[in-house]
Amino acid sequence: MDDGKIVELYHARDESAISASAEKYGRYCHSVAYGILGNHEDAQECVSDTYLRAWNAMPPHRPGNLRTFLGKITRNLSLDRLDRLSAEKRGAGEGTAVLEEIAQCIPDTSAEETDGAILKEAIDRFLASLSAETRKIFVRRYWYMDSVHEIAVRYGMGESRVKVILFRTRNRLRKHLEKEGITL
Amino acid sequence: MKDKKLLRAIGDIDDRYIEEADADAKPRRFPLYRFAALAASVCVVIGCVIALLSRPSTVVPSVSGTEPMETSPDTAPETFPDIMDGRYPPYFFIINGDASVEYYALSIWEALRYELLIEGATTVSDETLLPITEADLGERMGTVTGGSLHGCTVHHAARYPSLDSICIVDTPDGYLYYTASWLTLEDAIGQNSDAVLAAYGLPDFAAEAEVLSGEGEVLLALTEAETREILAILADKTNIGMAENNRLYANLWQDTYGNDDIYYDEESGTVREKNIPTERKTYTYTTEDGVTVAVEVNGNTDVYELKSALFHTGQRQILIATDRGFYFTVTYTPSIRTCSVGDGYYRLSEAESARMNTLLKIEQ
Repeated sequence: MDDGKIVELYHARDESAISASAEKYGRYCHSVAYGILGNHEDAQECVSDTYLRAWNAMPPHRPGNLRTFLGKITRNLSLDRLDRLSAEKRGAGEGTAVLEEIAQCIPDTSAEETDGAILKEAIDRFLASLSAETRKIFVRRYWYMDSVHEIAVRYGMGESRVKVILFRTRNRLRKHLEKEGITL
Repeated sequence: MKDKKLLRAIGDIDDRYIEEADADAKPRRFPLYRFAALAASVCVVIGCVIALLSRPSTVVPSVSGTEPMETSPDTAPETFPDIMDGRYPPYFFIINGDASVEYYALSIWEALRYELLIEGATTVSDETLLPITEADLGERMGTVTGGSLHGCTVHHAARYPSLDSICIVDTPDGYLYYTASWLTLEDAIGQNSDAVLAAYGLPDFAAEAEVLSGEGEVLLALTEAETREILAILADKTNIGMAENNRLYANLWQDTYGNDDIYYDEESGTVREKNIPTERKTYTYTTEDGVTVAVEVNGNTDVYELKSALFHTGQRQILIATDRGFYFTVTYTPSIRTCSVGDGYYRLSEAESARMNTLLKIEQ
């Protein structure tokens, strides 16, 4: 079923929108959640909640890209869950490690906190400035939260090289945000 | 908080970059699909149901063709509801009303396990799955109960006539494979492990067994005699429950380190860590060229690392395939001498644990 039809089902309050979403994007959403949480149970619960969020968001929302729309919901829910996870489960996925890395990108500025929409645009401009290879590696690590090993396998390069690319790109992001006057 | 804000902002980047990075998707963490264990089955179902029921006046999409229904804490049943009463999204189905086996859509690992893909394929899609024809249909298993496929006929796969872990459903869109990796069983505290073993047909119908590390790496295959001995150790044990299992973890920490940085929280029944101040730390990476790169990060991971080493060193997953194709999956944690199967936690004696360590070749 094409995405437009699935979105129409949501707008028509037709419950088969849920099963169509699950069939088409369930595996994708699960991989996003699993990357962050590293736990099938937690990941599956986030995916289940994703459909409910989507059901509540449509209507009125009409996403242009259903796949990434659902993926973004799953990612946010998974980050919420990562916050709540008990000490025992913490660190099972890549979420905790990624959070430590991302702390290095925080610009050293002290002005008033930048609005979220402006921050997003600044990050988009930063991504546009990268080579396709670097951008994909950055997005795999900080959007999908793949492990360094997985990225190395995916792009056929050594783990050390991936780490170096990520390290340099984090520094570039920090400088880019500082240059744009972003304060977090 | 700033790091979280930035991480969330990255989550909202332009869709094209998300798509670009996923364009050449390969199966992820493939070995771990091997033990999407019993725990997952029970917790997922209960989790979904509790999650849905716990939302006050939440509209829950119906899958039975009726209007979406309202639930609220006032109307939600106190007992675990029938998962197949048509109110929940159809992630899975059961056959002929037998709730002990739940069938899910095919994962990449299962597609590889049952050799259902064209040569060289690394993803599951309409293009990579071998076509299913009538010749692939084995004996009729029954009909689907629940979900969007309710009433559809289910067949065994002709290539695997004795396995109940894979089936072919005659859906309105054509034939589709569905699989079940485990059984969904009650895991009540106080329950005897013999009931779980019997449900799997164990020890009589153990087919093959292997041992994996906590990270999913296959470490060794077990002989039939070794498998039987492990199952004998597991027999006639009482389920102490997850909370008691967590208490064992906290006690171990306190006995080892003499502090309560990690403690058992009575209210939630979980292990928690005290708020520990973060500090700036330096990690070093060595590149392929031998250059050492120092990276400064915020955060104190010492306690997590200590905890992980103390609790999980030597942890193993034991996968025992049964004659019906299901995996009896045991997580053995030597630090607290427990074996978990699904939501059941079974404590071993010191002697049993020592024997288990020997059988699983866990170095002390």
